[in-house]
Amino acid sequence: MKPSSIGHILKERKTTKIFQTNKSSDMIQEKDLQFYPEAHRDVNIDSHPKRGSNGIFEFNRTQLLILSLFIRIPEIFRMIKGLLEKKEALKKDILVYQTPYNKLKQDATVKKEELKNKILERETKLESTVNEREQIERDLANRGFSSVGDETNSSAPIPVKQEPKKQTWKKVLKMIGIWIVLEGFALIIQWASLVEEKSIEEIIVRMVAMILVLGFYHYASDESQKSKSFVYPVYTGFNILMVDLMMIAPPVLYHYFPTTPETTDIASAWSLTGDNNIATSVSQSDTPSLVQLYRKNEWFPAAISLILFLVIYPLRNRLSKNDDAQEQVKAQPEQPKVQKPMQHPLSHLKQVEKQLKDELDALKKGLKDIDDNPTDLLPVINKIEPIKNECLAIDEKVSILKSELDRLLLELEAKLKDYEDEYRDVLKNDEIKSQFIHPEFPLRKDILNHFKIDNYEII
Amino acid sequence: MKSSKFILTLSTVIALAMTGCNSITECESIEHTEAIVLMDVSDPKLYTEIENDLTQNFPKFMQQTGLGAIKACQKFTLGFAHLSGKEALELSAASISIERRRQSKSAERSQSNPEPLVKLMQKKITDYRHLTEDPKMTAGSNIANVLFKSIIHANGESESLILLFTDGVENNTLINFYKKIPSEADVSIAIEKMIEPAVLEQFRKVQKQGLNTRIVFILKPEPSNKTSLRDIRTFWTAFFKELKLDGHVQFVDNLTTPVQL
Repeated sequence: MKPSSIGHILKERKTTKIFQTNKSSDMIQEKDLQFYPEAHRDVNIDSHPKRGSNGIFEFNRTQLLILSLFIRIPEIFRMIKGLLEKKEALKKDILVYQTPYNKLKQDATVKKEELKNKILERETKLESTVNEREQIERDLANRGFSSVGDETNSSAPIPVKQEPKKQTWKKVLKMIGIWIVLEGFALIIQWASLVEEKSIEEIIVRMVAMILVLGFYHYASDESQKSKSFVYPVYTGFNILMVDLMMIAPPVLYHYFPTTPETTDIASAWSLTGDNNIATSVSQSDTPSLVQLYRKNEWFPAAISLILFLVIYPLRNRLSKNDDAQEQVKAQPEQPKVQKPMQHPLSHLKQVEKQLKDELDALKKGLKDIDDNPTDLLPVINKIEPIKNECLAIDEKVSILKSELDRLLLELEAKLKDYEDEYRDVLKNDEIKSQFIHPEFPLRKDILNHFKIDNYEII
Repeated sequence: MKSSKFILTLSTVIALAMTGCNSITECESIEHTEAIVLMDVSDPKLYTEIENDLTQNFPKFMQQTGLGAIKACQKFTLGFAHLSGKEALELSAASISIERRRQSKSAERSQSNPEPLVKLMQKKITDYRHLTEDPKMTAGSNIANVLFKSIIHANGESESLILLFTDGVENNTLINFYKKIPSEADVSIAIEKMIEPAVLEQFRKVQKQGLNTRIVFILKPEPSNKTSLRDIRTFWTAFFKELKLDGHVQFVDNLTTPVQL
């Protein structure tokens, strides 16, 4: 059988259908490649696959044609490589957040451990306290004492001394009321002398001075009720004195040293003879200088009161501390008289028990909060989660692309192998050439080299 | 910390209360009244007459007119100048004022006390007495020129009154009433001679804007009886009429005669 005829027979046995995507038109083009005739032609034109002296494999014509049909292989590889690089970058991002995340997680764990230890400690203590209390109660019962009264004592709610704002306002309003009454009274009885010797400014200053002194009086009397210090009663007394002085002094002084001048008519005032030209207050010269000084400065009592207040007010904390200390000293010797025997340790134990229970509740709540609501970790988790999801998506894409790449490589190798078989058959039939030509066929690395895929192992 | 806050608040409240008073007592504007007394020193006898009138009747005049009686936010200025051979207005003035509202009555009385004005007046009466012995001063009389300078000076935003103590005899290089008192027909020519052109021009400007000056012309008889008082009065009446001042001028013999301000 002639090789040509054999080729025609074999033409039917090795045929491949290759689907190639035309990028420009997106149309699928079907191409039939018949390996036997191509191999026959290659042998005839001496297009033999061989390895070059530099070790680089040299594909022959048909092999190159086959390789050209698998152009998607390098594309897919580049896509995988890009995705892997992106993943590496994301991994670095994760590392940035991972360190504080680990630290916070570690802190939370340490805190949890501490809380657990504390809970354990409190529980042990509570147990021993309960045992001790029960023992005492049993002892009391054995001796004929009842602990009911004690319980009511210890658990009775302590009346909270309320100092609402309402009371403060009431005090202020009361003070303003007193001021209005006093000043109104003072203005009515002193009006003639006031307008004679005082400007509106001085009257306002006097009124402000009065309300200041009244304010200081109320403050001092209020504090003297709370505090045991002698300072406040003295200051209260002083303020009462100042209020009285401001109320009584003007009319008294007006009575003894009247200020109304003798009326001088305009003609006398303009007299050019020089005997009666000055319409001054006649009584001014007779008034003692101290009286004149007081009349000009009726705010003086308020000023003294204010200065004393400025001295006393910053010392109020010290004064109240002294009070507390004194009260404690006084209270200590009285304690045994009030407490019955055995009632004090029992109530103390109950208090301790209650306190321990409260502490335990708080600690358990803290532990639950850490488990339920890791608020410290949340921001970090919120940052890491999307990056991790993105990495997972990349992995999925890479996996799909890798399987596609493997499939294509295997398909390519299969095609090359089919071609190799046909080529060997044709060469074997050519007795002359078969003696001189020893073709080589490509390995996986030669295919990868052809596609310039130099680090396939990374995927 | 709490105490310092409290003290600071308290101090602020007190300071505000104090400073808040200013707006209550401040005057929005001061109402100003001015009076200028022009005394003729060209003749010692005439001056004695004027001095007597002033010393005896001025206090009553002030009482009657209520001129120097000021209230809150009012000011009164009293000025003195002499009429003599000099053409210049040599004005000396003093003021009293109450520049704040709602003061005590005693303070207001003290501030409205005319003592400084009376002292100035006493001083000026004495000073002018000495001037009557100065020949330069008695050599002539420039009544109209000094009067109109006074009108221009006084006619500001304030109400003003000019008390003119004179015998009305104008006697200078340009015009001499001893020789001839100008007739009513010659008044306008006489005005040009009696008042400097610049002063007259200034007066007309002031007059256009509105004149708030009143003149009390205390016309004294000429001591040597060389001129007729009636002629003098006729001339000055025509003089003021020509200058459209007749509504602003009142002629009296002395300060006891009631005037309308």
